[in-house]
Amino acid sequence: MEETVYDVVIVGGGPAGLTAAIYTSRRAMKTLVITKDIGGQLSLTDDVENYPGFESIAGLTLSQKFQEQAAKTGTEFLFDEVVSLEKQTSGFVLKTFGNKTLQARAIVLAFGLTPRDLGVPGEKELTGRGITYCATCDGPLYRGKDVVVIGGGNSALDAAEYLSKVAKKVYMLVRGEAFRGEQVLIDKVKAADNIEVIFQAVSKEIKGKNRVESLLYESSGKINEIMVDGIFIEIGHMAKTAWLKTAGIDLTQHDEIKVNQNNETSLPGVFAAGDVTDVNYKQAIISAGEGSKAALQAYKYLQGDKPLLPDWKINK
Amino acid sequence: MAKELNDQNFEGEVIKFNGVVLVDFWAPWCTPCRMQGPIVEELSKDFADNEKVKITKVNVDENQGTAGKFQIMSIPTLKIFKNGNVVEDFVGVQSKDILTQKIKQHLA
Repeated sequence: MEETVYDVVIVGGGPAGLTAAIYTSRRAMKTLVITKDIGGQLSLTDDVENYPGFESIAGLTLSQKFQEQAAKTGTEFLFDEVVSLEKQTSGFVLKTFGNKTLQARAIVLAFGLTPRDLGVPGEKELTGRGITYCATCDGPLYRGKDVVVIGGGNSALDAAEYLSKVAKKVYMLVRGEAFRGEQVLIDKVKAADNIEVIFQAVSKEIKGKNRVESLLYESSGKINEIMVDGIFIEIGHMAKTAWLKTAGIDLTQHDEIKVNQNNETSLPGVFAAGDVTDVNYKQAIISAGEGSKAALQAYKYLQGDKPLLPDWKINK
Repeated sequence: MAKELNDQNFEGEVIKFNGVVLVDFWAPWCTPCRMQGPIVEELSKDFADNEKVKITKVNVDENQGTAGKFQIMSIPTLKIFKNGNVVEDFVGVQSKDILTQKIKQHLA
């Protein structure tokens, strides 16, 4: 196992990564997908109604179909998180959180976006102990309790509206002086009588011993404290790409991976696709398309002048 | 099959058990739990012959007593008990590798 050199290692198991895997495996490239989950953000979407071929399908079901298809074509899977990427003379070396070292001749980065964290004291310690980033996952655990939703965009409005039906009281902390979401959602939030919105409020600290007890926030120069059992952080998503800087991969000012129209990054042999890149629209179907482009480009890169031998073992 | 536990039998099955128990706290509406479920089922097959290991799950919706006692605030939460005491605590979907490794570690 340690000596295995993959033709392609794909980092990420959402629509981009799994589509890339289907393409590379079908071209007889030895492919490994390293991912923490299957489907990423897509798997958390209840009904997908804009993926051609499926009038309406659960995001998780669609993700599992991608995975099954990739597995059938020969893709291997490792459920882990990549922490470093290094270019060596003959290829790339990846290290994972689970202390595995993997070698690849080409890389496709397709690990999407991660919920943005608040970056306040107490957040790390209490994540999973009252702090959550997924209202639909954990909302029902807060039945009859007091909670706060942080954020002022669509996902925050959505979460607050949903939680208002479950929780006793829902606070909403918005940094700006107005919501940044769709009017339909804003109206729903305003209509709920157990939601209290606090604008121009900046979260400062989350307090609690073994579980969340309160949130401190600053508003017009004063520090206030609200007692809550649950904190739902809905302030958008970020590309968790800091670890790629040392490998020499160029990022945008939003930390997205810069790619050209052929999905090449600034480091030859490393390709990227989907939400983690500076692609214009973040959609499952676009990520799938970008994943196939990255895979084909990786194939072209490895093939060079001569065709890639179907049996990769012969090369080594 | 992973054994379904409830508020009534949790004490006997987990706390009073002399060995290692993996408990998957889940609920039907939780999407990530549906990823964790099959992994837990695989583990129950892998450890089926080992009398010192139990692979179990608790529906937190139906068993709020147990969920409350262990302060389950986010699911899936997985806990490993050894001789009735919590020795590992995971929040979020965990891979089969990591769980297998931890179970074996606490068996040793």
